[in-house]
Formats: sequence, C-alpha cells, structure tokens
Amino acid sequence: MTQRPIQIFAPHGLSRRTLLQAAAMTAASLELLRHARAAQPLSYFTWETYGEKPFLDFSSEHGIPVQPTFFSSSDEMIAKLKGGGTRIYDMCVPIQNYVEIGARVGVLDPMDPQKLTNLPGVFDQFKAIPGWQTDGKTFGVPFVWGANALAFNRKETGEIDSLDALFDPKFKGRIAMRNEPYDGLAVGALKLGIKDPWNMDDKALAEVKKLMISQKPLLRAYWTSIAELKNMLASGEAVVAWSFLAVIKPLNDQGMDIGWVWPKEGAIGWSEGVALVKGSPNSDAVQQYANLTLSPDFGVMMGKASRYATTSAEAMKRMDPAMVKDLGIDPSQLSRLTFKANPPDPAKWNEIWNEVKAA
Amino acid sequence: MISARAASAVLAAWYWLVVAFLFAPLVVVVLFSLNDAEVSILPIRALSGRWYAMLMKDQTVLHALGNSLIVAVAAVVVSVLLGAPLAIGAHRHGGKVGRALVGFALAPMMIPALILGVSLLTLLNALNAQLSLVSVTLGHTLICLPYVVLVLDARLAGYDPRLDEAALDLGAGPLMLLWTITLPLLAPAITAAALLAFTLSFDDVVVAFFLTGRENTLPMTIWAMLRYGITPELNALAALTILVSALTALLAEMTLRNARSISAHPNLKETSS
Repeated sequence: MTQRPIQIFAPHGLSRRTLLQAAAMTAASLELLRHARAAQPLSYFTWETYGEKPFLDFSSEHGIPVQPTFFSSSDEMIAKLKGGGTRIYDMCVPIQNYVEIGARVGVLDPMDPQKLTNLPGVFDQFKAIPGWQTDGKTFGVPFVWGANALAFNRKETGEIDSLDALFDPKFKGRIAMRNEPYDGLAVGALKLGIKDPWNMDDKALAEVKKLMISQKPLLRAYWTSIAELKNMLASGEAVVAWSFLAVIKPLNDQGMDIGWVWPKEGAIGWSEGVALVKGSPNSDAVQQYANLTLSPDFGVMMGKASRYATTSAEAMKRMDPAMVKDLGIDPSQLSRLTFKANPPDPAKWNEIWNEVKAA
Repeated sequence: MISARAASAVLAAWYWLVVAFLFAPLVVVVLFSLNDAEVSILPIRALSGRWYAMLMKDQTVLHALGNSLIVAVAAVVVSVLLGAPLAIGAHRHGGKVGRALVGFALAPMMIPALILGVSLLTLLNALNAQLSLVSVTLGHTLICLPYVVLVLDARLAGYDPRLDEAALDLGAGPLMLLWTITLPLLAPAITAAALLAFTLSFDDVVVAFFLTGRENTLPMTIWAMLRYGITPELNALAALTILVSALTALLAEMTLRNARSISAHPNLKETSS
C-alpha cells in the first residue's frame, strides 16, 4: 500500500481555483451572518398569548420584530431573569404587582415616559396604577388589562350584581371559589367593604378569615386551574363562581347563558405591560415596542386575536361595541377595580389562606 | 382456602383496574381532542378533526416542535456517544473503579430536575456561557445519560466474555472486536437506550425552561399555553405526543425483546453454557 501524502489545506483533487471560490463563498456567508445578527429581533420574555402569530406579524410589520420565549408564571419570570436571563432578554411582560419585585431584585430598568408617545391615548387610570411606578421611576405602562370577577349561570341564578351571591345559602353546594390567597382574601375584604384590601391590618385580616371560613360549607369546590372551573360551570355543578373572564365565551359558544359581572363591591384588576430588562443593549427599541403596544392599532389587533382588552381609549373607540362587550370590560366602571398589589407581609396572607382551607 | 380460580379472577380484576387507572386519562384526552365542542365535558357533541387542523397551522407550536426534535436528537446522540463507551469500558476493564464510574453516571437520575436545572444554570452563568438550545441539549444529555448507561449495563451483564476471547484469539484487534462483535451484539440495547433517551428529552419542561435562551421547546409551550386552561387544541397536541411517545416506547421494548430472543438462540446458548 502506497502512502498518500496528507493534504490538509488542499485535499486531494482540490484545485486552487475551487479553493478561492470556497474562500469567497465563506466570506459572503459570513457577511450574511453579520447582517442577520444586526437585524436580530428583540428577545421577548412573555406569556404565550402575546407571542402568538398575530402579535409577531404585527411587530414585524411595524419594523420591530420580536422573538418570544415563554414563561408560565410570574415567579418563573423573576427566577429566570434573576438566574442569568437579563443577559438573554431585552424585555418582559410582568403583572403590575411583580414590577416592584423585579425592580427591587435588579432585573428591570426604568423607562423614559417621554418616549411613550402613545401615552395620551391611554385611559388615565392605567397611567396611575401603583406598582408600575417604583421609587418615582416609570417601569412601564400596561397595554392589557382585565378583572377577576363573578361568573354566574343566568338560568339558575338570575341576574347578579353583588358579592353576596358567593355567600348566599340559596346556592349552597353550587358555589366555586378560586384557590389563591390574594384573590381569596381580597374577595372577603371587598365583601366586608374594606376599600384597600392590600393593606389590611391584623384585625381586618382576622375578620376576613372568619368570613371566608363561614363561606366554606356553601362551596362546591375551590378551583385551582381554570379548566376545573370551566368544567364545573359547564356541567352545572357550580352556578356562581369567582372567575376569570376566559371561561365565559367558550361556555356561551356551547349554548349556555353564563353572565359576567364586576360586583358592585368591587372586582380585582390585573394589568400587564412591556418592561425593560436590566442592561438590555436595545433599550431604545424596547421603548419603541412598549410604545407600539399602547397604540390603537395594537389594541384592536389584540382584541381580535386574543379577546384581551387594550388600555388604549383610542383603540376602544375604534372597536365594535359588540366586541368591547366580548372583552368583558367596562371602562366607565374602572373605579370598581382594585388592582392586585403586594401586601406588606405576603407570607401571612398565605398562612391565613391555608388556615381558611384547613378549617 | 380460596380456590385458584377465584384468586386468578381477583388478580385479573386488579390487573384491569390498574390498567384503567393508568390509561383512562390518556383515553379521555384523545377523546376530547376529537370532540367538536370547545369545552372538555361529556357527552361528546360530534367527532371532528378541526383541532388537529388548527394545530397544524399553529406556527408557535410547530416551531417549538422543531426545537424539541433538534434537542432530543442531539441529546440522544451525545448521551449514547458518552454512555456506550462508559458502559463497555467499565464492564470490560473496570473492576471496582468501573462499578464506581457506572454508579457515578447513574447519579443524575436521583437528582430532581428542578435542582439539576438550577445548578446547571448557575454553572453556565459562572462560566459566562450563552444560553441557547445547546445548553438545553447539555442539560438533557445529563438527564438521558443515566438511562443509557443503565440499559447498556444491564445488557452487558449477560454478555459472554468468551466471545471477545474467541475474536481476539482469531486475530481481531481491539477496534475490530468492538466493531464486529461488541457493537452488533449491543445494537438492540443501544437502540432501546436511544429511544428511551429521546422520550425523556422530548418530555422535559423544567430543565429546558431554565437552560433555554431565546427558543421554546414543545413542553415549555404547552405549559405556557395552560395559563387559561386546557383547550381542545392542547388535547390534540397531547394526543399526538402520547402517540409518538407510545410508539417510541413500544419500539424500544420490541427491540429489547428481539435482542433477548436472539441471545436465547440455541446455538449461542450452546457456546455459552
């Protein structure tokens, strides 16, 4: 066997010309790669809904392409950002009571409100939700909002407009309550007429606890996942429930008559918006995107694509009234909402809620 | 004394109860994925494939599926390339050190995925490494490796060393031995291990969430889609995932069975008895 010389740089049969061609092609593809890098979309750490196709298409059409990565709870979001996520993501979508947490643990940077030129079109109430401002700095403006409120089976209960229904012996065994400390105790507080449920003192908390324990014999169940509640309402096991809006439309599409109301004592609001992740090299583009989410066009697109309500008053004006009704919101009743905030001692709330469930 | 017949009837009933317990949820998911209604309750309104059609058009899901396949295949390749030499080497030359090595390789199996994910993330951060599908693959390799080693180690326990001796005696070098004797005999076990590793990687959500950069894997996407409940589209996705996982597991089991029946072949038996 004859030994063939090893040709590393020009393997057997490779001419100088092909080598040059290959070199030129490599250079060209490197150039392409560099270009692709420059046009890299904003890295968007978000809920699954806001990363769906209509949202992505809208972003691209407006010159700010985004690439979504999903989390499924606010705690997950904070954990990943804290664990190195700030090096990956440019922006994220917190709920209002996680903005302060994010700011405190150092994963969010404040924004320049001057850059949010669509702000004047936003309902005033959303410019002032506590939480989005921390230490006098703006960490974002919510683009989407909603409320947790009462769902009821109209055929079985008739019209309902008060939290009394959740405590009414008439519906014994057919009431469903959400299994979550903040919602659970705040509902009790609203029923007792406490205006700011998130700052209850020990005495108020004790009263709420007593009330919620007295509710227990009336309950069909505490629900944890929205699927459980949907099934309970669909089968008629529950006729009145503390609920998310998301269950209403699918049930009514099935031919049921499920009503949705923000009780007169109050409902619990939530809001989500784009926040700037600490140290993002693309902070300008992030603020452009945050501004885009506050635009009327974005609001209309979101309503159609996801049945979520925009915070843009301008967008609301452009929507069909039937669609606004579908979104389950009533901007004129915004003052009924109390937006979820962090109680001074969250551990105590957890503890009390566990005691209610164990009682 | 209970008659043998009564006892076997009780055992049969018990068996079917366990089977029902294990499989009823899967059946329900498949059933609801074919239900035309948007709410998952009985009775079934009408059979329909529309949720599957919707799924096939869902870019988010399809993209995540692509990512999951990339990661799963890469994790399988890497964990087999690491695990097979380890198992073979430990079996052949290891002695006590070899057993210790195998035990060491099995250790990640006992670490909860959450801990694994967080500690890998901490390590990668300390190294200032970029997170991406590569880091997810790394994490999944760690999940898969113990199972690859476990399956191969079990198979090697029944491996007749005299086959090696005979091959060497007939003039095979170590590489030829490996290539013509050891690997062909281990091939079914390697296939089974690879299939098992594939399903493990394909199902993981926790490690993937912590180690991913900008990309989503399929389980991450499903988990995130659950925020507002189980939609029929998710049922359809679950049904398809069950199908793929079941087929893979079945294939793995059949490969292993086939291998067992080969090693029980009379001719081979004769040489080893």
